[in-house]
Amino acid sequence: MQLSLFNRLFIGVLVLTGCATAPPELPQDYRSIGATKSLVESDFGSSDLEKNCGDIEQEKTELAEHRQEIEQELKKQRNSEQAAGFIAALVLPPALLFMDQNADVEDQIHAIQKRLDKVAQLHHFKQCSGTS
Amino acid sequence: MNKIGLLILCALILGGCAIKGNYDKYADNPEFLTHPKDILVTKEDIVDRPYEVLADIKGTGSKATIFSADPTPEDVNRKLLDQASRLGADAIILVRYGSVGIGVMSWGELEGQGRAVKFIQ
Repeated sequence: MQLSLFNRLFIGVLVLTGCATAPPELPQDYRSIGATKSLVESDFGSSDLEKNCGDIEQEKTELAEHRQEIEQELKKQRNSEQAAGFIAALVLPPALLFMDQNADVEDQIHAIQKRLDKVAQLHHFKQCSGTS
Repeated sequence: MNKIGLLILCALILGGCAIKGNYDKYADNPEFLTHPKDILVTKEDIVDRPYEVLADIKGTGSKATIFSADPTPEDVNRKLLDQASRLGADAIILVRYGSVGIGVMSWGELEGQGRAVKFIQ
């Protein structure tokens, strides 16, 4: 089946841009005046409970930096793949199937955010001072 | 061309000469309880002031055409601020974003969410 130029472009754009992904879930509210959740020891693993405030701060900083690096890389990839995808759609449509869809990177961002939320909870639980 | 057509044409041409004013849709509008410029937007939680949660809110930035630039977190923030403004929030905390891609209604969408909160005095 021979696809028209427009159809190739359309499919190309669909495949390469992929679908928008939802933002990471918001953590449960444990800090506001009317919070229904209060943090207890069993919310954390034993390795987390052994950490002191300095360790927690350091992990938080490292995670935030890592997240920023990944987000910047993802943005760069998207720009370059958009250009490559247009060409692939015109010249060799099956090539689109082999293009990286960044799903694993997005999973990584979600995992980092989840860990950041947990570290913030730990910060609060341990009554560390400063931002969390 | 009849007179009505001529009038419409004149209105369209002269409309292009309109000067952009300082119209602020948030000012003196009872629908918006807080002005967005007074609302803090942060990816973090707030630890130094007590607050109550008003709502978890979502916003989506979209690009108009396939050739437009991808929506940015700032576009999403504007949508979030609009909602927070209606709720009378003082801040949007824990803001986070998804990734840009094709959405139901747009060639490029970026979704974000956060928690609208009001400080307790």
